[in-house]
Amino acid sequence: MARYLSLSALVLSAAFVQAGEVRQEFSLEHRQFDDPGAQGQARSDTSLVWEGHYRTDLNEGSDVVVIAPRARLNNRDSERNLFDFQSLSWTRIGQGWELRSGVRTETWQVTESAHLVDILNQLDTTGDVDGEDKLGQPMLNLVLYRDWGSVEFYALPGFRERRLPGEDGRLRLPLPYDTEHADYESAAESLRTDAALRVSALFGDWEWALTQFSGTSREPQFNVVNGKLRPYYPVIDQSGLELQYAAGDWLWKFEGISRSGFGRRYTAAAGGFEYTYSGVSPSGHDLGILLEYLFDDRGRQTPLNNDVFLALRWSLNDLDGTELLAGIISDADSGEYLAVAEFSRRFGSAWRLSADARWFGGPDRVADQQLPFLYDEDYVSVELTRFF
Amino acid sequence: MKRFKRGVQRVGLALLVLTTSAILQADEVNKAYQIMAESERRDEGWQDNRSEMQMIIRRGDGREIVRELRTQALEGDSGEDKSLMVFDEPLDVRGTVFLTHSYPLEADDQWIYLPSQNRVKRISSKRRNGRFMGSEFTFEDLAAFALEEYDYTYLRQEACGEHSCHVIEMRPKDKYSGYEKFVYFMDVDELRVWRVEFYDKRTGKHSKTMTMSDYTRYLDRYWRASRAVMKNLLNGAETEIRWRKEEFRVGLNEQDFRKTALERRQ
Repeated sequence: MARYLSLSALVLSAAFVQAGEVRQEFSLEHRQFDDPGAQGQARSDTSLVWEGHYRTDLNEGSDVVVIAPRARLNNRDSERNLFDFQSLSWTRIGQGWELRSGVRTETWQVTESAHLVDILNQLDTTGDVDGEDKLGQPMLNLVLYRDWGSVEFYALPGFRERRLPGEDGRLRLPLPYDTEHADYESAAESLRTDAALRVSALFGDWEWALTQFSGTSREPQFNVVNGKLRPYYPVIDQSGLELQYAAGDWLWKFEGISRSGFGRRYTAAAGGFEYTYSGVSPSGHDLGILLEYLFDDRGRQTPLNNDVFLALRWSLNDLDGTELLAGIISDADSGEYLAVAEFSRRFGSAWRLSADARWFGGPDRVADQQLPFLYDEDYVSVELTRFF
Repeated sequence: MKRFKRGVQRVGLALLVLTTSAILQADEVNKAYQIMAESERRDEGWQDNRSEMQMIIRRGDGREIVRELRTQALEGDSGEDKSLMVFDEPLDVRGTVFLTHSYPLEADDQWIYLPSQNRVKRISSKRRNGRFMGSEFTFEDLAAFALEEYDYTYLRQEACGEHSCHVIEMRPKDKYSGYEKFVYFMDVDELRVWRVEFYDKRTGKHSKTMTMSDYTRYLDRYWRASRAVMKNLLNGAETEIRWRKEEFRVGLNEQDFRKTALERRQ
């Protein structure tokens, strides 16, 4: 109770007394699909998104308070409506340690195509399908700094269900998700307190991190109950490794996990490189080439089991911050693919326009198809954002 | 930040009064090296630094754009400085942070914190010819200065503005550098850099000139310019940098420059 009082006192003083850093953005996002949805969903949908971020340093920088809400309204699928705190946290900074408490979002990731190790936060799959839209997670995170790196302990009280598209939403599996019910392995259901540990180090050009998570899986399995896909969240143990090596223009990356709780223990990994050729033209453009391989020993039970990711990223480094990205991730056995093209540039100092296109496709032979329900889900999305 | 500052501070090579007598007998190479070494030596001991930076980009066609950043830097042993650069403008990159751990003669370690993804990403720092935020500065121009990274030749002494200046040629040893050489103009009295001429590696031609001015002395010792103008001689564009609220010894420590510490920014 005392903690809550002092936290709210801090938040209040932060909000009303201290001048901190504030940023805010409003986005209008429109998605246009090539085809109507297989279950009769509309060919287009529009979202309005608001994100706020407030950060302030208190007590000469020994406390940091961050308040970061996010809200979304969608015109077709009420399951995409959202209000969430990406962060509502207070960090106490000591000599050689930090204690971060409250709701936070944290990313454990080195590869670009896979999000294997990243596990603390639940995903919001009603945003983008790239696994980068997350929900804030209540946590207590103690960081101990050492000369060689840091050790972090996490207590994660409370579980948040994955946000899944509704019957009118896209992209989704052929059967609708049961967004009202969820089953848990843990008797505590969504009230279990999970735990995690992360040890990370930096040795010159080498960086590594070892992570251990024990708790309710953020990723659900699905059971068909009354004609709907009902999420089931097992209790898992997951060990993760992230490895990165920087050599000149090359960044070599690897991440892998071993997870128990989804049937037999399984292993998945992704690795590759990012090569940046800087100043490719007299006008100072940067060109990045990314190549990664994804592996999963469950084989064809899972889509990203033997896949290659290739992408080109072109940054113009111009006044408008223009960026282009083209990439494909493709199954090495069947040729099933997801291709993306992304463009983004700034207008003036407060607007940004982004346009993304996604194409899905695969082999004709039904037995080779892993994600056939995506093949008619090609779409273009255009997003206009105003920053304040 | 110091990194930026010294690069431009290669420009700012903040300096002390130098007794030139010791170096007068040296040959041209030695003389140039010793001037630079002395300026380096005299810049030691600043500990940490914080400032605000405004970048005004003026294109050949008259368009003008402003960038706002805040910088923090920590002095390390033997040139292993650390720095943070936080973006305030343009608004779509507000909150983005560049963290750099500099090493003389080695590639720096560099990370970028992307607030939109809550993610700290390592970036490759070896090749640094890319333009910085659409300005006339490249990442290399903004990098920390390290004495051992160049070969020096003393060219001449000549008048520059109201001062008399050493004119020193510097050739980068790093094969990834975008420049064939630089020519520095540093005043004889205080070793402040007033002008730098940049010679492009591809063409060998004089492509850019940077002019530094409005020097202030901090802690009775460290000279810092509060204005730098980089002019592109090929297209007529120029970028001006103004530093404000320069502060030294504000109590920054090693922990503030850890990669893990970037996460508390979210």
